[in-house]
Amino acid sequence: MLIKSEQLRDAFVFANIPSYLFRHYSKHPEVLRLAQKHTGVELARLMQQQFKAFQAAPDDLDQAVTVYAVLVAGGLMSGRESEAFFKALPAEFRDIKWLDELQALSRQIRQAHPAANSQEVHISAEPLPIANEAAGAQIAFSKV
Amino acid sequence: MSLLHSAYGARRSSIQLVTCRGTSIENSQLFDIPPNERAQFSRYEVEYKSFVTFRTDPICTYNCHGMTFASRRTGIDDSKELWKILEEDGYEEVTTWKAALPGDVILYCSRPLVTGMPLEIEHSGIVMSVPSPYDKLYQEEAIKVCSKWGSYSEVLHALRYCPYEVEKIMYYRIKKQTYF
Repeated sequence: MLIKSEQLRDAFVFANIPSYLFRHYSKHPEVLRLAQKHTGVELARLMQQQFKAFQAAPDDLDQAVTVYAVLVAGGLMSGRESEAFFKALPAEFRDIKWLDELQALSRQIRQAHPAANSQEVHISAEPLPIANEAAGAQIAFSKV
Repeated sequence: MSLLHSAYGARRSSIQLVTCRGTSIENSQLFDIPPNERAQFSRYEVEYKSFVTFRTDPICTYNCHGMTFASRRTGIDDSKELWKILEEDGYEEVTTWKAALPGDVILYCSRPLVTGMPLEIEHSGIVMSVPSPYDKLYQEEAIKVCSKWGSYSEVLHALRYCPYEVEKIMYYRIKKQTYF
């Protein structure tokens, strides 16, 4: 599996902060599909495969993008599956830039929106109009 | 952005960076541009060259926030650290674009992914020029900005001509002496 997307490549190169990456990746249909199709443990296994593929071809930007696509997909899963995903990742994966931040972001989103802990919930990070800038943003959760 | 520093044997570090009040600011430097990003850069040169001016080669030691707030010495990738700098260094918001001046800090903000958290500062830069009321194009879009695009180059560009969310633009300036 190799995700080839100009949109994801651009977000990868231009990201200054983890939430930029999370926001852009979590809108991508391929990332959403990964989150919906797999269990947390399956996705962690896929992450390891993709990471090995990346190590074999570190010059391939699409391979790096694919690793992050799987990582963000793990953060989009329901609470239990997402925790299982991150727990199943080998310790050396902690060197991956922004892994901890993306996991923390995923947890914060679930805590702020408990409905996202249900397995039947699909997370949509589509932008919503700013109704109250002081209150900040809302991420939309809808039952599939 | 580098995927896994050790995969390239890339050298990384951080420096002692503090606010005006002496509070530490988390930061990170990277000294080797990941080879997998170089190919992408050549596409941007073609795609953007008619609309922007590339001020530097690609540099990964600092990101946009490092350019704006850390004198191009390191990268800052946490919005909370940026809000800390703005507060502790005595920045004040310039509430309308018409009052913005060259040298002001410009922030490109997006709504946070978690309700109730501060706005995410996706991008920042420095205002280079502001239109005058006598200009034909007297609107915010005519503001020119210098900013750094991720691990790519520093770029001179029109306010909205960049790959970042423009949901909320904010301007900041240190206007007066702050006493601690």
